Amino acid sequence: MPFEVIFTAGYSLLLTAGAIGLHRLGHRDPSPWTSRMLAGYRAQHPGPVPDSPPGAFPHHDSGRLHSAVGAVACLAALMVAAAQLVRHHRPGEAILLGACAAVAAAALPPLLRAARSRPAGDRARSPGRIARQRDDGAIRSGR
Amino acid sequence: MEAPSAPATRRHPLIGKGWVQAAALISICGFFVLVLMGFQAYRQGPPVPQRVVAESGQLVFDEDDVRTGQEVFLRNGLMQYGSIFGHGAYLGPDFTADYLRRSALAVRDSYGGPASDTAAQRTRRDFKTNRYDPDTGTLTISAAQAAAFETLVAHYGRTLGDPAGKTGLRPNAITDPTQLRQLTAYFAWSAWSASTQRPGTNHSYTNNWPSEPLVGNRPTGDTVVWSVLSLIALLGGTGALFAAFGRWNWLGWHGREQHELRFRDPLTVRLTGAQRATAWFFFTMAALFLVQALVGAAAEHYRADLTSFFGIPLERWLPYNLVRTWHVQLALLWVSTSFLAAGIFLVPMITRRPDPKGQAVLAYALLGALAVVVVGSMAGEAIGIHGGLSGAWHWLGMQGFEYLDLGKFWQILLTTGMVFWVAILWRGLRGRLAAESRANMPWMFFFAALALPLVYATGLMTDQRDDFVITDFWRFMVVHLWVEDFLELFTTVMVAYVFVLLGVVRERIALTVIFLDIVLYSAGGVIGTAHHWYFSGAPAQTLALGAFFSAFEVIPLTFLTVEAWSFIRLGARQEARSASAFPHRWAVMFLVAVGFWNFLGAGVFGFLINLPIVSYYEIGTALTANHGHAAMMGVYGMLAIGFAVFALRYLVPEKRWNDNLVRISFWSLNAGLAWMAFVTLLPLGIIQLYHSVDAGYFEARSLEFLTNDTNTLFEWLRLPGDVVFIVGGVLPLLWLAFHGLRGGRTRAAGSAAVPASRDGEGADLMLFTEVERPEPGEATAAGELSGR
Repeated sequence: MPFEVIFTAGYSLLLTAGAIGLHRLGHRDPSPWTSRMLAGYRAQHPGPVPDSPPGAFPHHDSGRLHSAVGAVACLAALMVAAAQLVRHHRPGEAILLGACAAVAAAALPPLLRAARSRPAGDRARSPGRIARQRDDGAIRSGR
Repeated sequence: MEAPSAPATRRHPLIGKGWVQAAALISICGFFVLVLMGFQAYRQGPPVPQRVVAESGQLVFDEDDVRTGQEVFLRNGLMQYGSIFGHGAYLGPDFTADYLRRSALAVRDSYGGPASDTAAQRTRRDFKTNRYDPDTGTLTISAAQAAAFETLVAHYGRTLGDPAGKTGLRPNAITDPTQLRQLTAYFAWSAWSASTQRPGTNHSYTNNWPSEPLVGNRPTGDTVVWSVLSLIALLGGTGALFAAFGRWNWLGWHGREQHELRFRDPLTVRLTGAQRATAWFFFTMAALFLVQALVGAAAEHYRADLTSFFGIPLERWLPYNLVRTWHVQLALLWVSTSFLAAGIFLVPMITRRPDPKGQAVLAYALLGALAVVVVGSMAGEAIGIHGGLSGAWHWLGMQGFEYLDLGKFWQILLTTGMVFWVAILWRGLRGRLAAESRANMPWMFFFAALALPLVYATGLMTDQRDDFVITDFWRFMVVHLWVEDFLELFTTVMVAYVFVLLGVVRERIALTVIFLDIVLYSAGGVIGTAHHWYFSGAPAQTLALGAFFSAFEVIPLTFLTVEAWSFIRLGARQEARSASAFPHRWAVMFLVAVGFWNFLGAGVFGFLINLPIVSYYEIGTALTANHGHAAMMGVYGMLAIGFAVFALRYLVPEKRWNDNLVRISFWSLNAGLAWMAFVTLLPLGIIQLYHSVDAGYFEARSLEFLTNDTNTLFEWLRLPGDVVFIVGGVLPLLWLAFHGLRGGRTRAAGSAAVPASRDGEGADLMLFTEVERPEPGEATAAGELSGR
């Protein structure tokens, strides 16, 4: 099997794995009221969760950026595998490259969905949701 | 307008003396080591022999041939086609490695060919033995080497003077026999430096770079050992910094006070004349960005199809070295345009006072000067590469050092323009500065701006006839120290100040971040500049210092990226209390993208090629381009656009403002950049690195390899991403900037909506954010910000 095929298959899988990792990395809780990173701050400055947030502060979109770049990486993995499949399609090569393309194709939709979804802060939050966040925040910050 | 009266006392410093002393001490140490390395470059670079003679005593070439050959190399833009000592562009060959391989093959053939062990040993001995006599300035080479030189003069005549083109250079690029001989002498000298043993060591002047088994060039002990130590420095340094800050919370996030914020509608914020002038800067920026992207696409096309541009013989008018020259020059120029404009835009917001008289006129004059530099330097580069301008080539045409391609006259004019810009900032700031401690934000803003022309001016020290190692030292004062350190510092100060003005971060915390930045970059970035000089003729100590300290550069990138999330999240706590919507969603989104690409493009992709042992095989390959694109566009490009979007939010009337345009631009730029890296640059770079280690550096840089079927496929796959980047990313930005020009925000409309400030000073400018402490009777944070 040519080096080119093995390289492309490995690169495609690595890119897909990186895309999923990036997506997961970007979807840590970004909320200033519940995120772990600001737990210490909240402990020192307990404040009520606002009832009606006026709009999302941009950090809510940081997760979308991670998912979007992940989706591009996934699409890239699919594209390079498919392009090589056109050039190298003996049975063994076709199975290997096809499998890599399938893995990338399977990973792509959730990333696209996450990249397209509106940030949580954009949606008006229900009283129940706010109460849940407040409770979660209290638990996470140890209060 | 009357000059502001000097206050009786300055505001006390908001940051402890320890931070100031640490920053000063570490900066002094960092620059001391940098100067020391410069001294070493002057003292220990490979000598240029006065005469190079064959064993028979026949003169082969002399010092003037080498130095004039370097001029021929530069004026024809060959550093934007191929490279020398690994530095330059990536389409053409590395001429050091190219000459070394071709001459070694010729010498070995003359001694008996590949089948003969004796021939191989004699070849290695010819190239490794240093027969330079410093007393007479004479270098003696073997008869076989002298014969190889003559063969290679003819070879370069055929390739660089090819009448058919098809190499990326213009047809008949260099045909003058004297120039070809001088050029070959330059290549021969570089190959001699790269192979003969540095006195007192067992390696060449270039630490045995490039890898070339024919002459016995392989990685040195320093190259391997300092790679390992560099990794340890990175891991240990990152861990130590996170542990220390986690334990002691030096940045003081947890001490954040609670303020009340009210965001103003951008249209109710009155703009000064100079601020309105920046609309032209941002339009110019977007136009230059479009041209830069288009010529970049043309350069990319040469890699995908070297023979023709969809049937058009592009190399006749726009050869590869010209479009690449424009591409890298414009990258610096459009980003700088945005930074200059952002500085001017921010000053009235910092001072909260109207402009001094004539400030807007000066801003327009600066833009005019910038336009002259851009048009003049680009025209000069085109004429220079096409062989024009004769004796004035390095003044008005193509100076030829990669990233410092513009003629010296334009370089001086650009430096003067930046000094002029600092003077504009000074006029606006001086009243505020008089009331401030020199360790506080306004002074840090001014100092960071002042450093830009000062450091850029060091690039004027390059001279087209100097030894390469010396010109490279000064070149990287601009390419690394100016771009990667001082622009980074200015960036940090600007972003921190914007967050302070937005009221989401306290000034003391922002100052701590700035001083931390100075400390970390002085330790890593300044000395780390040496990672560019591993193989350019500097001694092994420079390699060691560069490897070890440049590893520390990644630490602040990681650390500040992680901390930036807290920076922004804290803003959300404040924003949620505001009754009005936050107007800078997309400007901050571009800052989020800066953080992302800072970590991936500058941090991960940068460190990927930073270890000396990796760089030994990798330098001048697509992995360098991968890092360059992801870091330059991802960090400085996104930041420049972020500043533009921030200002345009005020400059574009509400009825013409279109959030969708910015949204499309944001996602297209990020998607296009990611596509560029993931589909083409990264995989091609990995394949090229593998080929360099497996087959040889010469082979990995050859046109045969670059244009093979696999590479061509990956190059063509980049096309959709580039289209998304240009059409979806750049054009909407240009359209929005055009609306900024059209205005509609008249002076009257702007001021009519401005309410009186809290203390009744109606003449004061209002910020886009009001910041108040909830407790009655306390000084407002806004008051603190404005120094009142």
